[in-house]
Amino acid sequence: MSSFTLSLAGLAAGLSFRDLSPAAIAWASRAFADTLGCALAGVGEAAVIKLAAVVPGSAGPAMVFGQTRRMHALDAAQINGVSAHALDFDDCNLEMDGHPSVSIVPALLALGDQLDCSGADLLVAYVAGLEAEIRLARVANPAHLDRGWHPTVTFGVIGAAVACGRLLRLDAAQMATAIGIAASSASGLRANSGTMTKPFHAGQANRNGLQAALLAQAGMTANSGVLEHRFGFMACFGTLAENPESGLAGWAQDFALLSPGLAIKQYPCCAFVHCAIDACAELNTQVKAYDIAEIRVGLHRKRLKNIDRPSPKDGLDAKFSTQYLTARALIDGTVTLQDFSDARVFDPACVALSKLVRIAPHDDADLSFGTVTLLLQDGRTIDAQASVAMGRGPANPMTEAQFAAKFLNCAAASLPEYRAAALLAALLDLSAQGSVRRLTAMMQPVSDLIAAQHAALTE
Amino acid sequence: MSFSLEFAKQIVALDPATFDPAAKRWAINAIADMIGCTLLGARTETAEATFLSGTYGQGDCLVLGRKDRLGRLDAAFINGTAGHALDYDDTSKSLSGHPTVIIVPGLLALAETLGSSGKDFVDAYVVGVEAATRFARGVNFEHYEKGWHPTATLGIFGAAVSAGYLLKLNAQQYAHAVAMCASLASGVKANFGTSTKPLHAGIAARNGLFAALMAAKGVNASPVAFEHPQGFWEVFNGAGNYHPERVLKDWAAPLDLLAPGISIKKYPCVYSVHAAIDAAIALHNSEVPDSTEVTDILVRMHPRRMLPHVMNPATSALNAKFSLSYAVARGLVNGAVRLDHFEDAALYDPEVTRIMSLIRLQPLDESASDYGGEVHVTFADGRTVSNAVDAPLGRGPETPLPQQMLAAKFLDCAATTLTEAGAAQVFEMLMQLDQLDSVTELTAAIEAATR
Repeated sequence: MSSFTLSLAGLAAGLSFRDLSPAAIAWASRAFADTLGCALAGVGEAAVIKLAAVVPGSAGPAMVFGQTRRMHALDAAQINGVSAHALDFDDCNLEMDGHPSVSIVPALLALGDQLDCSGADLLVAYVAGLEAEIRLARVANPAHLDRGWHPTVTFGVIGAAVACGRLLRLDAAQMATAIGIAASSASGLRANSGTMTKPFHAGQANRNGLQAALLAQAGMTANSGVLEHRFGFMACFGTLAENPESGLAGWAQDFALLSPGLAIKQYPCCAFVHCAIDACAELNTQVKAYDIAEIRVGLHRKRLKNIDRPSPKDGLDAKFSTQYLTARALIDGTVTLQDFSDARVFDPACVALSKLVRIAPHDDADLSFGTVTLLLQDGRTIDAQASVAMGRGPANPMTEAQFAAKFLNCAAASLPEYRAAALLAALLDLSAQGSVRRLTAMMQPVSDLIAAQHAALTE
Repeated sequence: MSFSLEFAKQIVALDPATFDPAAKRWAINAIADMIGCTLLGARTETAEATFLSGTYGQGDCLVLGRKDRLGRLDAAFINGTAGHALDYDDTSKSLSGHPTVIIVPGLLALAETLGSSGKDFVDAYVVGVEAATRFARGVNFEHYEKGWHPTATLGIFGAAVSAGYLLKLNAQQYAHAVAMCASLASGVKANFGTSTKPLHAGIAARNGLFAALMAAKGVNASPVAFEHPQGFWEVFNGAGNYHPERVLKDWAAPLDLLAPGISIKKYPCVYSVHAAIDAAIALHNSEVPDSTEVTDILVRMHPRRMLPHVMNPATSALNAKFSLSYAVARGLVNGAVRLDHFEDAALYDPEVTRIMSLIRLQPLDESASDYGGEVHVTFADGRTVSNAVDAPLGRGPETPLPQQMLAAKFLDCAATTLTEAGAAQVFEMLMQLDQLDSVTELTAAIEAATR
């Protein structure tokens, strides 16, 4: 019997830059940049600050977001992984039912710093890891998902191991070992969602995935059939798939990266509300808030369980409040990271507008479809619709300007705008960058201000 | 009340002042044995690989068997992997795995950074073993049969709790720490037989310490991480395969270290022949100091232990470890079975080979002691002597390990990386671990003795 693990390892080890289509390079670069943007935005979150106080072992070559001190690659991968996931603003993938890039990008960047490789090296490694985890998810789901694993990390750790393995240029046998070690490091329960432990999952995936690749390179051994073994990954975490090799069809041709592809979150809040926010952004150009008498928001019945929150009690709650989010978008034409402070959430004008929201469940075939109908003071009715599946993917991409707006909004937490803009330009042209160290130098804070804040907050 | 909080309340209710001195003696022996195993494993290829040639930089915590100091989490990871590299470390029936190798590495690193006393270190170990083994009662043996490696997936709870004891966590913090461990537990049995198996120990040792440190920083995890429909019980064990009520019963009544207790291995070979080796060594030390006049040897063991794999010849370092006749012959001829006896050069000793050829094997009655053994020796002049052992020494509280045997194993293991005089001094210190003002004295002594 052929080994699924070895087949996957061989394909991932053999992926080369020549295999990447221009569309694949463009999407990979964009997702890479988006994940780093999220990390730049997440540096001040409590989970990150607490982690950064506990984890660091020693100094090293790898950049840590928000800090002037560099660390060893494993610690950097872990801390940056948590930064990138702390706001839940990173990209999504339907087949994984999780976040595909957040487990890979921080680990790759840390290893890239250690090796000082090129941007093109990072891209091909990223695609290898991303394809590996999504294709594994394709055959292991839904059993894996239904058991209660947090797929961002349980598939993600294998994606990270493969990506880092590719950057280290492991051969097929070593790559299978890296997958074997990663399978024995995989963990993370959905039950811990909604706590600080959830972003830590992403830190674990990055650290353990990178560690698996480094250990495989250093000569460790593991079961080279770990995915399909009866006491292996698929069996222990769900059910052994009948014909897992089918998940590998079309490797390096039909990229999972492009179809169904990644969904990049445009708004820093629950993805189920994004269609309604888009509709409101469109209506914002046509109407003033004081003209509105009633706001009818139509969302799919299955999506409403968690997002009907008429009076959010804080910023985190507001991220799941359809009432707040639609009112905010009608006033501002968008929703940004700054909109979750108490001052914004309890802004009287916005609270008053949100009281006009009536939610109407629909049973449309399209789960991601949303409609917003405004009844105006003068009796007129206007409406707008949108369908956004977890974010903006290949079917409905953000414009360059929209993407840049998100990145700059995120990066503002760590960098002055002129530096953020230069960084974005470099990241969108990642394949042309010769040195990861030069790239990560652009991501470090210019002053000691943030480091000083860290020190103050962790005392 | 949530399971994690009820579990935490049991931990907080443990009072080290009331611990039976016999349990503390077992704890000290187990810790000493673990440090010996780690000194032995420190320069294996597996441990070398986890060191990742200098990736880690410098820190405050000793990597046993090396002159390197790393950060506490990194040191726990490497010491944990090295400690399990040769599978020579102790086992627990309740855990279905190796309890000490997950607890001691993190505890040692943390104690070094906190400057904890030897007494607190020993108490923390006892508390950690109690927590891990009580937890295991709720999920074994289904947990093991599902494909998980309990040494890692259950041992991690002991690591977090013992570290938590040194960090003086309160009940709520303990609850967060163990709930976080539910999201950190990993290790699949598919990797048995590879160097990833000892790696499981290193990962769990690191992550257990990590969870305790994060909980001390005020990080939270779900209050229902165990009983949630997508929580630890359902996800790892599945419906009908877990019994939380068993976890919460009978804490310290008595301590698991006293019933059923842990087993310490004394010989670096297959466990099922250890009673026969004990009997052979007893004969060497009494009526058979010189084996040259021996003409016949009968070894009797329980039929369940007379498995095909112990009938191995001793033609390689690997199959010698499974050779009953080689181990018994070594015991009779040398009065010891040591690590160097399994090196290729040692396998063809003429007298050992002669004694091996005399060994006959006979089953005991089915009703005999499961892990017992007998050795009957006949001399050229027709005289016969024999020795019978009900269970190998060190198997548990009923057959405690004589200190000189523990010392012999420790010195044998430590010889790999420490000077002879230094190893003896470290062993003395370990035997009085609960008297040490600071665990840093112990690690300083180990570092100074490292070759």
